[in-house]
Amino acid sequence: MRHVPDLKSERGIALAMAIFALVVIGAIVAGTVFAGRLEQSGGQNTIYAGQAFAAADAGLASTVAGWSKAFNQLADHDSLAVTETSLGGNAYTSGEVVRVNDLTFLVRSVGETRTSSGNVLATRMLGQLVKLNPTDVDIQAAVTARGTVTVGGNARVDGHDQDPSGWASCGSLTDLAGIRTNDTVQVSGSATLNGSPPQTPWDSTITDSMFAKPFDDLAANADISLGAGSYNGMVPSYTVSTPVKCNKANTSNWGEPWMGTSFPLCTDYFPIIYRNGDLDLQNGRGQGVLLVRGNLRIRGNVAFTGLIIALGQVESRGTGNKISGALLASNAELGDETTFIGNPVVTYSSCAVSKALQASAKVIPLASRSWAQLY
Amino acid sequence: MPMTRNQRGFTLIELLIVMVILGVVGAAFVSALTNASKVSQAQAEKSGMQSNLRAGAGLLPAELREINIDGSGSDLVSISPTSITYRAMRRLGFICDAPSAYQMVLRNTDSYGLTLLSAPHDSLVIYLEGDPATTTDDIWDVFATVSTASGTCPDGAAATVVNLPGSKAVPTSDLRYDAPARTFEDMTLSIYSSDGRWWLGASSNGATMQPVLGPLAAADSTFGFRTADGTVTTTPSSVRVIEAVLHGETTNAISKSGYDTRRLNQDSLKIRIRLRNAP
Repeated sequence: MRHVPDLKSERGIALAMAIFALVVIGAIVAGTVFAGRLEQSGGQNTIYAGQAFAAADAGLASTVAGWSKAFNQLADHDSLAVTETSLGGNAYTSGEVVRVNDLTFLVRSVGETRTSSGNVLATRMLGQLVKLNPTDVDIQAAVTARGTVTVGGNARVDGHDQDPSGWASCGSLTDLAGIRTNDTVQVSGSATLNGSPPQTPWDSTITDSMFAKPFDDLAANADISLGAGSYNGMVPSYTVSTPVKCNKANTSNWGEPWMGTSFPLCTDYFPIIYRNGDLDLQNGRGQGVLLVRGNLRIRGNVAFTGLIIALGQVESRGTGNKISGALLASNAELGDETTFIGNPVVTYSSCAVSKALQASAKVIPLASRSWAQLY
Repeated sequence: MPMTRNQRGFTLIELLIVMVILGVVGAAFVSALTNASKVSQAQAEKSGMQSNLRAGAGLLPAELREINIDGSGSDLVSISPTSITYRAMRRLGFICDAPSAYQMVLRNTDSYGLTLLSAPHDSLVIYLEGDPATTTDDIWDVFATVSTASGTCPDGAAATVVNLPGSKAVPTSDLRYDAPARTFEDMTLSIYSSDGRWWLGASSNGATMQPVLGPLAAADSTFGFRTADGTVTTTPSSVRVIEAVLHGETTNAISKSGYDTRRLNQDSLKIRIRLRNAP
């Protein structure tokens, strides 16, 4: 009979050693895999951080290049959010524009890299200091014109620098000439000229480009483009829906130049109004920059604060026309067939011009140190 | 007493065979363990070295790309193939008040950076607007600091009052309300030797060099400087691009295939940093 071995007595160490070896080798392999995984994660994090940085940088460039005039209307220390944009590859940029003071803004841009489910993997914040860069307009008189300027009736042209009634001062005042032209100035009736000096006729420094260059620069950025016809009754207006805002969609709303009136929400609205042809105006008020490629005829009771550039002739007739700021015309005829009864026709205001140009201005980075890492 | 089969012992031959087999298996096991350990150690060393280099890829651009160079001067104080001394921008803030030409009040809100102003260690560089109608007179001017204290802006916002030495006055007529200001410290980054190894070190305001990254293979770790058109330059004010080649090596020697002996493993990283505030 064959002997059946007693299994319990056949004890050895092979199985124990094999298990021990497997555990040790497994631990080493696991450690190596873990180290490799750590390495991979470190590398990925570097990539995510780089993507977030690039996204933030792209956001900065985009905000500055596509500068919105809504930013120009911010009060000091107020901010306006920049809408989040997807840049593809799970990279996103958002941010805000903070108005630092009357001239300077801080653009903050946040770049993020996210997972496909939206979890944030890396964030970087960059900033750029930018400064308003208004269009350069050579203003050295209340009225600057090419050709003969006729001032009659009770018209007044005043080159003494004055802030518009009720406006906070913009700074120091510098008087300019009343009228500056490359031709003659004809004064008749009870018209008066004031300024330093009241008039500068035969000014050979006046050239076409003084009118055309700023005209084209500003027209390219117009807020309101007017069709042909006569415009009567320009007044500020508000939106109907709440919250109530200045109604910038209304082309008859040219801002509110009168402080303390019923449209305070429109006092910061300085539109660029552009007419590609002749323009007739009567009754109403507005502020900003008025650009007329043809002749501008002001028929009466029009109050405008800011800058007017007309490449054709300017006629101001009737009563109650008031221009506070500066007027540039290639040929100007200022006068009236009735009277102005002591009301100034054109009063130079550096503050009005400055506000109008700044409101429509683009921005440029500060001369140096404009770019900053905000972390 | 009769001997049964179960009670028989091993013969000498059997024992020798078992011992040989156990020896072979044991040797293979130890060899496998040793190899696995070497691979693991080498992996950890390489990982550490590459992690170091990645740190350099993050650190150097963050430190250097804000360097400003303009017509009035350069934030690069001195440059060489192994060292850069520069003004390291640390914080951006805005001056809400200037009670005197030697006292600036920095708004606490809208203030950005990793570190707070530390006087007199840090300096201020202040934006002077001058005539707002032109950009040609806009400059940033540098001022030392003496001390700081808590304060308030004219609008009541919390602020930090920075006292400046009497040796240089801020032209307050050129200072606009809420003018931008930057704080900075003078930093030196250097490839230097310590304890027989080479490191990328950093020193603030002339203090002792501290290692921030390494060890490095010194001979191949260098800084390079180029102008906007790519020409190599040694003039700080002409620099527009800084290049850094970091040649890292492992802390300990590791086995490397093809070599019998353990050696230091090396890897390199080249970084090009375009200075963002240099036209």
